[in-house]
Amino acid sequence: MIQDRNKHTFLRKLYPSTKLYLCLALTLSVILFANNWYSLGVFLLGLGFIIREKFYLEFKIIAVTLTLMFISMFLINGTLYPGNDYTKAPAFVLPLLNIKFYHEGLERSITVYRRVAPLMCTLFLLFRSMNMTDLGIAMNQGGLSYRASFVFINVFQILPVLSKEMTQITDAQRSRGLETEGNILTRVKAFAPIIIPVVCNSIMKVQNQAIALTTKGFSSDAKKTIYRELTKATADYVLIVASILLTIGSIVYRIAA
Amino acid sequence: MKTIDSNKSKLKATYISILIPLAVAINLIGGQIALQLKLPLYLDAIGTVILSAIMGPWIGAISGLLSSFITSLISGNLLDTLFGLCNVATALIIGFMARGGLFKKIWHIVVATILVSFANAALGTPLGVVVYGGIQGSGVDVAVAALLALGQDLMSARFWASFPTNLIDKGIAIVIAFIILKRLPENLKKLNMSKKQLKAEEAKAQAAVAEAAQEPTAPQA
Repeated sequence: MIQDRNKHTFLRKLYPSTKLYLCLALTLSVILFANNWYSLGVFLLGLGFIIREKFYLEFKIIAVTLTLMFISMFLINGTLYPGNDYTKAPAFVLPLLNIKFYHEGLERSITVYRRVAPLMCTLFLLFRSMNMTDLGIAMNQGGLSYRASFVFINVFQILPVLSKEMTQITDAQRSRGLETEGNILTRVKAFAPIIIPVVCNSIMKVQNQAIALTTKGFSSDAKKTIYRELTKATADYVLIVASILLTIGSIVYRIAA
Repeated sequence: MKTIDSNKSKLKATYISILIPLAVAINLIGGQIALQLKLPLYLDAIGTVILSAIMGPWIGAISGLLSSFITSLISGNLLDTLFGLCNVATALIIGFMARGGLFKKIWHIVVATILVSFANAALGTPLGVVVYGGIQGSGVDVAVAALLALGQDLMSARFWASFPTNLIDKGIAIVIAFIILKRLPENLKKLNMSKKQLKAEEAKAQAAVAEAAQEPTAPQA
């Protein structure tokens, strides 16, 4: 989540709240238009940008999740969905295995899938190309209180620290004879000796952290300034207007239809 | 002896702004450890349980919502944020139980586990059906499919598939949170009081001070 600060691609240069507007517009339009071709278009747009921004690792994750979801959704809904009309001939029979797919179940899976897949693809891209500290600052400038944006940013600062600590503690416990592999009961038993030291360590530091923050004036009521400066470009204004129009358009379309 | 009173409003606010991110991070780390040990569980409620036990239900609820929002940011599936409602239910149940002093004995844990898993399954089922149509590409789907084949309808199939999973998942989380809570320093344990309880406590402290002042000092021998 901690990203390099040099912003060289179009998506990374965008102002964080522009992306929030885009997210809102995409979510509402995909859900409200409920159109196969529109969803496919958004999906392909997302894929194109993922390749352009060179998010190959993320692309792999998305591909695996979406394929798994596709298989289980169509397999289970197509064959076992309670609304299936079993008196009719199946819409499609898988050769060799003789699994029968019915029309109603498949239709339902398409309805759900066309909602989930494009959103997953595009929103994932939008958030991955965003620096979380920048997002916190943009939210602060957008009117969120200083404390709330501190909480948001702090999560992303604590996470790598705890993650590193977890690796160290896992290694330490393993060297003391903890078994982390084997059957499921052994692995469940290994959970507590790892999580408890991690949590206790971090909670013991809380008091010091509170004192440190207080001495740095965190609880004072004076207006705080922020070190990073974020600027909006023309593309941001265009995209904000476009996404607001798209949002209104999809709501109007839904009401009219 | 003079101790830092962590219930004073400003210091408490500082504690809150440190503990919420910590709880979110603990939730995520729990999930990461479960992934590392290849457990078929989420185990991503430990931080929320601890925080709502020491800070009260509403702060816990915020951490639950935030943690599911951040999980979905990291995994890229923003629709998962809706499942934060399950975390809110967990936080409210544990928080109110702890505030009422009902998070101290073994049977309290058993009751809490059952309540929390029921709430999670009951809230997660309609959400799962609305967002994913009941099938979401995880291990629970196998159980859902089996129940569908037995002739259950989609809602009840999903509910009965997710209730036992939740029972184990939340059970482990609550037991671990309980073990950790027992070993917390004293000044962190008392942060979950409601405003009424706080006032009562303050009045008690003042009365004790007044009594001490009124007592005649013992004549020196």
